[in-house]
Amino acid sequence: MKQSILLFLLIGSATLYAQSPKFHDAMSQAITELEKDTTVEQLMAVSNRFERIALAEKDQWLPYYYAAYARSIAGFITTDKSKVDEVLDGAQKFADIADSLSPGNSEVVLLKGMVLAGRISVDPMSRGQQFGMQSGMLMNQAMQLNPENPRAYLMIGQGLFYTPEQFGGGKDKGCAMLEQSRMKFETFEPESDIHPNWGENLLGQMMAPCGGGSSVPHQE
Amino acid sequence: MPRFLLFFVLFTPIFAGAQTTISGTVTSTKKEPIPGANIILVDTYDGTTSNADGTYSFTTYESGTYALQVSFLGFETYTDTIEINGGELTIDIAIKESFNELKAVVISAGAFEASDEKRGTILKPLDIVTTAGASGDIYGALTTLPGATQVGNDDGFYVRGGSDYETMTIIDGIPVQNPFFSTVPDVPSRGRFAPFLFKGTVFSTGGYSAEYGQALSSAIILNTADMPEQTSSGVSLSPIFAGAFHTQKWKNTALGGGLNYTNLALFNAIFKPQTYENIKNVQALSGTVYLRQKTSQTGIIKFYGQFEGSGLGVRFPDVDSLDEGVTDDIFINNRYNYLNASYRELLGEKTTLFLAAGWSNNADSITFDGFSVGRGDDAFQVKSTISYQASDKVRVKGGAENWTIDNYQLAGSQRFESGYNLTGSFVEADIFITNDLAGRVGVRHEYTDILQEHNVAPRLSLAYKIGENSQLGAAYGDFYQVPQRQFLYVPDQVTSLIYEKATHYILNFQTIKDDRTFRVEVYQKDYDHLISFTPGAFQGVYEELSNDGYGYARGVDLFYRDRKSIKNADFWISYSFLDTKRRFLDYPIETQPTFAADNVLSVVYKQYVSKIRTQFGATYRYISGWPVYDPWSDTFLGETSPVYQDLSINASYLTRIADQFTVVFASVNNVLGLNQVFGRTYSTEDPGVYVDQKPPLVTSIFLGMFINISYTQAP
Repeated sequence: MKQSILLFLLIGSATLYAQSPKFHDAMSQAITELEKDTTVEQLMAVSNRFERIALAEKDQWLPYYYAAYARSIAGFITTDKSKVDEVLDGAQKFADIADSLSPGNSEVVLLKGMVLAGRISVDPMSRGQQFGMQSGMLMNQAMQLNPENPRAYLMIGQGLFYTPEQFGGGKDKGCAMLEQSRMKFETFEPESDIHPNWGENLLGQMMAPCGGGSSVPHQE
Repeated sequence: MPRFLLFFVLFTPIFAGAQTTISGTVTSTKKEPIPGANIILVDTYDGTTSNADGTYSFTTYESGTYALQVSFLGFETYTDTIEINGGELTIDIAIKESFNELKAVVISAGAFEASDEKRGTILKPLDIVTTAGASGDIYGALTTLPGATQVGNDDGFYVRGGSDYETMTIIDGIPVQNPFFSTVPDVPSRGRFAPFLFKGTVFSTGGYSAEYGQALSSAIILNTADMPEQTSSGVSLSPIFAGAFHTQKWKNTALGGGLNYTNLALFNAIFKPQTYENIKNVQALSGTVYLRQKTSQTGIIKFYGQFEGSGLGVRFPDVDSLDEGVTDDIFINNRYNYLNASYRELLGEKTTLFLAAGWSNNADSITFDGFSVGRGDDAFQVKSTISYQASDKVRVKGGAENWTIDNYQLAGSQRFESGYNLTGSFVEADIFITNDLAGRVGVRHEYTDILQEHNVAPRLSLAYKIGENSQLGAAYGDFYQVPQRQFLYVPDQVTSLIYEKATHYILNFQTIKDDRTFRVEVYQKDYDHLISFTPGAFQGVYEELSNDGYGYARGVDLFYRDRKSIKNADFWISYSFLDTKRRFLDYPIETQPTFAADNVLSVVYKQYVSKIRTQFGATYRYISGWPVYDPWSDTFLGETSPVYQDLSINASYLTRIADQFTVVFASVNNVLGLNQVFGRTYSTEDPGVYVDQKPPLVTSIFLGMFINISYTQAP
C-alpha cells in the first residue's frame, strides 16, 4: 500500500515535472524569439507560436497573454491603417481569453488597454476621445490591481507624454509618470522567468527626451 | 527504480528517432496562397506559420493519430485527422473565407453613412462642427456633400431636384416635424438639434430602406449617442450666445440637462442687414433634458427633451411700393416642445427589439403689418422594430409605426384644423449571397385615414464588390408622401387627393482605400401625382387642387475625400450636375423649379497645425444659379439668377482655461465680400421693378468659446 502511494506520488509528480519543463522551455524559447522580432510578419508568426502552446495548455493564461501581446505590438507598427483593426481583433480575442483564465490580472488588464490604445491610430480624430478614455481607464485599473507593476506606469506615462497639454497630458506629466515606472522597475521581480517582464528598453527610449539628473534612465 | 531507468533508456531514443516532417501549401479555396496561417498539430506545441508563398514545413517527434488544424483570421478554421508514423507527409490545405460583415460588400447606393460603428465613414459630429461655412449646423455641413443644397435664405434642405418638404429628418427612429428654427422669409434659419447629440448620421440621397417612408427624396437618419463615458459639464460663450450643460454619470444611469440663451442684439448693433431692418432682435431660450438608463448588459433606455421659445421682428421694403418707402413689418414668435424616448434590447442572441415614441408640439404666431396669422402642429408618433439574424448571411427586420398629426392654421380670428393618422409597416431582408454580393429587399405599406388610401412601396438595393477596395451598387424604390399640410384644410378637396409619388433608380461606384474615398453616382427620379392647383383669390386658397403634377430629376454626383495625401489635413470635393423639370403647384408648364441649380461644387479643406494647436478650415461653394420668377415675363421661370459663390473660413484654437479643455473658435462667412444673389422678387404691380434676394449680411463674423469641464482625476 505504502509502495503504491509512493509510486502514485512519484508518477504523479513525474508527469507534472515532465510537462512543466516542456511548457516552460517552449514558452521561454518563444519569448526569446519574441524579443528579437521586429517585423509585423515575425510578430504574427511568434503570436501563432504562442497560440499553438495555448491550444495545448488551455488553462494557462501566459501563452494567450503573449499571443495577444505580440499582436498588439504588430498592431502598433502596422503602417497600413486599414489592416490595424484586423491585427488587433486577434489581439483582443486572445487578451479576453487570458482575462477569463486569470481574472483581475494587472498585466492582462494593461494589455487590454494597450490594444484599445492601438486602435486610436486608425482614426485619431473620431476615436481619440472615446478609445483614449477607455484605454486610460483600463491602464489605471491595471495600476490599481498591482501598484508595483512598472509597465502600468510606463504605458500611462507614454499616453500622457503624447497627449497634448490641453487634453490633460503633456511632457511634464508624462515624464513624472515614467520616472515612477523607472523606480518600480528597480524593485520589480517577475513571478517566474516566463512571466511578463518587458518594458525597460522602451522606458529608456521614452525617458531620453525627459532629461533631468535623477531621471536619466538606464543606458542600454 | 532500476526498472524505470531501463524503461527510459530503452524507449526514449526510439521515440526521439520517430521524426515526421509535415509540409505542404495553404491556399484559399480560390487557390490564392495564404501567408501567415497558423498550422497546428493539436495538443502538441508543434506546428508553424505559412510563408509568403503559402508553403509550410515542420517536424514533429509525436506519433499516432492527431488533429491538424489551420487557422487564419478571416477564414474558417480547418481541421483534419492525420496519422503520424515517421517519414514525410505532404498535406496541401485549402481554407475557406469566412463570412465577415466588416470585410463584406456594403450596401451603399444612395447613402452616406457617417458613424464610427461602420469603418469607412463619411461625416462625423466633429467633422460637422469644424466645417467652415456650416456654422456648426448639421444641415449646413450636409450641403457640402453632393446632391444637397440649401436655397437662398429658405430654411429647407433640398436633395437632388426635390423640394424641401421631400426631405425627412429622423431621430432615433421617429420622424421630426419642424427640424428647423421658425423664421420668416429671407431671414436664414438653422437646424434645432446640436451635432454632438448624435453618434452618427446617415444621409440618404435616395433609394433608402423600407423602414422609412413619407419622404419623396431624402432621409436624414440621426442616432443619438449612447451612455456617456463620464460625468462632465460644458459652457459655451459668444457675444450672441450663452449655454451650459451638465451630465451626471452613475454606473448604469446618466442624467443631464442644459440651458441655452441666444440674443442677437449686440450682433445686430454691429452688423446691419442689407435687405431688411431688425425691429426686434432674435432672442431664443431653450432647455434640454437627457436620460440614459442601462437596463441590462445589452439594453438601454434613452430619453431626450428639448423645449424652446424664440422670437424676432423684421422690417422689409415693400417691393410693390419701393419709391414710396412703404415697408412691411413682420414679427414671429415660436414655441417648440420635443420629446423622444426609445428602448433597445437584445432578446436572446439573434433578435433585437426596438421601441420608440416621440411627441412634438410647435406653434408659430406671426403678425404681418398688424394682421395676425399663425400655424402649428402637434404630433405623436410610435414605432417598433424587430430584427432577427437568421444566419450570418441573412438578417430580417420588420416593424410598424403610427403617427397622429394635428395641424392648424390661423388667419385673423379664423382657425382651420386638419389632422390625420398614418400607419406604416415594413419588412426587409439583408442577404449576403457571397462576401462580394449583397442585396437588401424590402417592402413598405402605409395607410392614412385622411386620404383613405393604401400604398405599397417596393425597395431594392444591390452591392457587388469588384476589387479589394471597390464596389458597384444599384438601388430602386417607390416613395410615397401625403401632400403638404397646407393642402389638407378643405375636407371636400382632400377626399379627391392621393399620395404624391417618386420612383428612384440609382447606380453607384465607390472605392475606399487608405483614407481616400471616391464615389460617383448617377440617378433618375420620376415624380408622379404631385400636387397641382390654380391660385385662388387669396393666398392659401387653391382652386382645382389635384394630383396632376409630374416631373423628373436626373443627374450625376461626384465625391472625393482625402485624409491622407496632406499631413494633418482633410479635404473633400463634391460636384453635382442636375437636370430636372416638373409641373407642380401653380406651375403652368413643366420647367426647372426655383430651387434647382444645374451645377453645384463644394470644396472643403481643413488643416490642423499642431505647433499652434489650431485647426484652420475653408469652404468654397459654386452654384450656377436658380430659375427666377418674373410675373411680367412671357416665359415662366425663364430667367436664371447670377452665379453664386462663397468662400468661408474658420479657425479653432485648442487650449486650457482653469485647467479645463477649451476651444476658442472664429469664423468668417463670405470672407471675400462677394455679391451673393439668390434670386429676385419682382413687383406684381410695376413691371421691371424688383429687389434682389440676398443673404442678410455680405460678410459675417462669429466668435465663441467652449469649455469642457472634466471631473476625472489624472492618475
